[in-house]
Amino acid sequence: MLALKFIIGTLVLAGFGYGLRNPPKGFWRGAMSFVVAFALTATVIRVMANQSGIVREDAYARIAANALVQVKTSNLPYILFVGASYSRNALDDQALATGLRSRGYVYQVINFALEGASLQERDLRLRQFLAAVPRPPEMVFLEISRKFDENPTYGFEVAKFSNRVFGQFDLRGTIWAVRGLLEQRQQLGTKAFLKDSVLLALHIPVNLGNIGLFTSGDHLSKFTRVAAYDPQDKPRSEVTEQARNTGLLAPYASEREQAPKWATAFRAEQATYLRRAGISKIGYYFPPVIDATERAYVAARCLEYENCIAPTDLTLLGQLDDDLWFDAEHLLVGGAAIYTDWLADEIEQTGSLHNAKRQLALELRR
Amino acid sequence: MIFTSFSFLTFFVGVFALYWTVRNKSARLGILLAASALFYGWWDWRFLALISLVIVVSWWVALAMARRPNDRLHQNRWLTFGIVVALSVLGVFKYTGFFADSFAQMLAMSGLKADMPTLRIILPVGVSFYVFQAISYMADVRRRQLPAEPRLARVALYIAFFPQLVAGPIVRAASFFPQMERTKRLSRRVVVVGLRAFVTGLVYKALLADNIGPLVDQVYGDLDGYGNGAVVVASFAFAAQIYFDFAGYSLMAIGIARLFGYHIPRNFNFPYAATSITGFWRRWHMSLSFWLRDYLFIPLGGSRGGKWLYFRNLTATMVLGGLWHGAAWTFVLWGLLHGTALIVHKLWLEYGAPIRARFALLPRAFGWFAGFVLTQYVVLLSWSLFRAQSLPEGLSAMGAITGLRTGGALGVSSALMLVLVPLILDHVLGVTRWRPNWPALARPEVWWGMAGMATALALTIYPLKAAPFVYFQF
Repeated sequence: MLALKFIIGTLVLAGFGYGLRNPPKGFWRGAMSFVVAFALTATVIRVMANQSGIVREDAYARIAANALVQVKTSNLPYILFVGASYSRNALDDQALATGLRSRGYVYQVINFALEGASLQERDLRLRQFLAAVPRPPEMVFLEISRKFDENPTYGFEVAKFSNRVFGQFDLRGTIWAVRGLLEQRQQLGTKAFLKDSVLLALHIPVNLGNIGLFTSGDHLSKFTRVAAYDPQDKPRSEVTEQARNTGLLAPYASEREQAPKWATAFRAEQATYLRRAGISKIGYYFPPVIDATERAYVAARCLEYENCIAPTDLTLLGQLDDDLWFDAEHLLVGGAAIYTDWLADEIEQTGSLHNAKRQLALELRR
Repeated sequence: MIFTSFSFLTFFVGVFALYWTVRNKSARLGILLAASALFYGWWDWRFLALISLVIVVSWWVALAMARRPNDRLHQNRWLTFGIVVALSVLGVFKYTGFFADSFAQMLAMSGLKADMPTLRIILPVGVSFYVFQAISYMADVRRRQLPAEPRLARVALYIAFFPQLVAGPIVRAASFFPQMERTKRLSRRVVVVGLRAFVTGLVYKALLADNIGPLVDQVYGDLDGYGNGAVVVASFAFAAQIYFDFAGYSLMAIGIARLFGYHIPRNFNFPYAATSITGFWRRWHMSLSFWLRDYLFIPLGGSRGGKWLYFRNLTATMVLGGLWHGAAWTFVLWGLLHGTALIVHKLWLEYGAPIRARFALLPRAFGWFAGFVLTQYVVLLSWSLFRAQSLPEGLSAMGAITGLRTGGALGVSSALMLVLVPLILDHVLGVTRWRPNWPALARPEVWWGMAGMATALALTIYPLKAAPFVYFQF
């Protein structure tokens, strides 16, 4: 990358510093040529960067870099959990792998989650990871939550004008964001709709114009590695017993809430892509939260998808009725251990994974 | 508000549109003054009070000197007062900590208790530059190179003109004041020349300096860990970084000023093509070297009074020039090194004739090349001091370059030497004044098409976070 940067710098210097000194007259023809040449060059650069696996560096890229090394250093089939902060705090990937192994499922488990990651951002990093990884995962679990389904430009909630947000509004991310914004404009409200539209308009050219793509960008394997699982041992905000009684232990809300159309369509397109990438098993999940309606939203989605694990099990929720909460949406390390163990059971019940013990027993019986 | 940032672009477009919309000369000056205040206050509004003090004192002193034009004693007293006030601002805000620390260290070395409270004062951005401009104004009035300006706003605009306010080039009052009175017209030439300088500066700064910086920081952040080879490479990289950074800023300042119809003098003339240290100082930060010559070296006596006084004045000028850059011993030593090199060069010119005669049969290029290598070696050595965070670090880096140090084990990729490619290209094309003579470039679709391609390429390495200019710290 270093050589590439200095070659580009030298070329541009030769061009703007010395070669292109006095522009000839003829504004309109000139302007047209400028736009066409710019667009063509930017497209060629993007295609070549994609082919070479060059991506923007941010926190998620570092998590993807870590996942890449995990896959490369093991021959085991692996399961990927793609999500946001709910998963980052709740899903202990090593403990889950151990739990699954004790049940006869020999898999590597990789947490692939980052706080505040919008659906587009997760999808972008998943695609980049799949393009770089030597073999696809055996199964991918995708986190579902109402917060992210209802906000197609969630990226702006966590950052603005940074590599992280610029990166997620590529052509695909932009199309989904625009579609989502248009569909959700009433729910979002005029002010939020306009604000996000303006922000989107300011961020798109940065991505499509490749601004800063090579400044910190590189191949995923070159970035510093960061593990996704982020255990917390001290609460960030207190979750009172009363909140737990009224939220965590509240009766399961059975009314079926519709998911925003764009989010449903997004997941359908994502599933198609993943199948094309050789991943036949796709699952959905959501870690536990205090708010019963959030859990009910995912439970409703689980009626639509196969292999969907909603945290509505009263036994699990009862076990979590303690000082196990980082805040109302995230678990402390003790809560994560309970959830991870429960999740291993739930995954077993989906029957999607290959049970080595059972297979061996069957073969011995034969 | 850094020139390469989005906020500056927005600010500039607004000021530019407003400036050329109004036709009244005073209104235009008012717009520039207000814009300069906003630009400077953007860093910290409290700095405005300090620059206002310098402006008011300069204006007042100049008027006081003009009241008795034939009384030299009166004028000298006022000038001394003005310079003392201006330098006090610099002294208090820039050097208090340095002198207090140095005093404490001296006490400690003498075995005395040295835990005295040290005053930490925030360094107002650009203070070294505007103080010099203020001195230039007062001295020029004293020398009758220009009349004292009765209108405070004009003095304020000269000292606080935003394109060159925070890092130069240092503009002479005698060259700036007449420009304020000239009628300005927005012509195609003004736009082309201004934009060309600005864009070239932007390429220098954003694409080259900012991409080189992290490599230098990596090695200079752990000098003991890196081997001598790595330090040499990083020092070359720093030589490239500081040139592209500062020359880039100067070009952008010149371009912005041009877009408002003002001429600011050139600050760099391809310094790494110099074949002598004297030549280097005629090409590097020219506005400072000429300022030091005219307002420090010559008033000290210049070359009058014999060889030793001349050398004393030269050394004092360079050491004070070094101290101007930063309140640290590394800068003092940097200035001393350059002062010594200048003296050696003068001695070589005076006494080196017999040695030169021995090599008379060799081609002239040999002498040129030897001078070039020696000059750039001294410059490289001095940059290692300039970049280091402390004197021991600077000496360690110099030891690495001279091979006198046993370095660490870490190395860097030899690909880093690629940083020299744009530097060499820039100097070769610049010194030879290369201009393409391709008929196709006369066609707008070809010219603009190539500009479109170059822009698309440039944007890929454009930093998303604007890095401050190296010289802002001075």
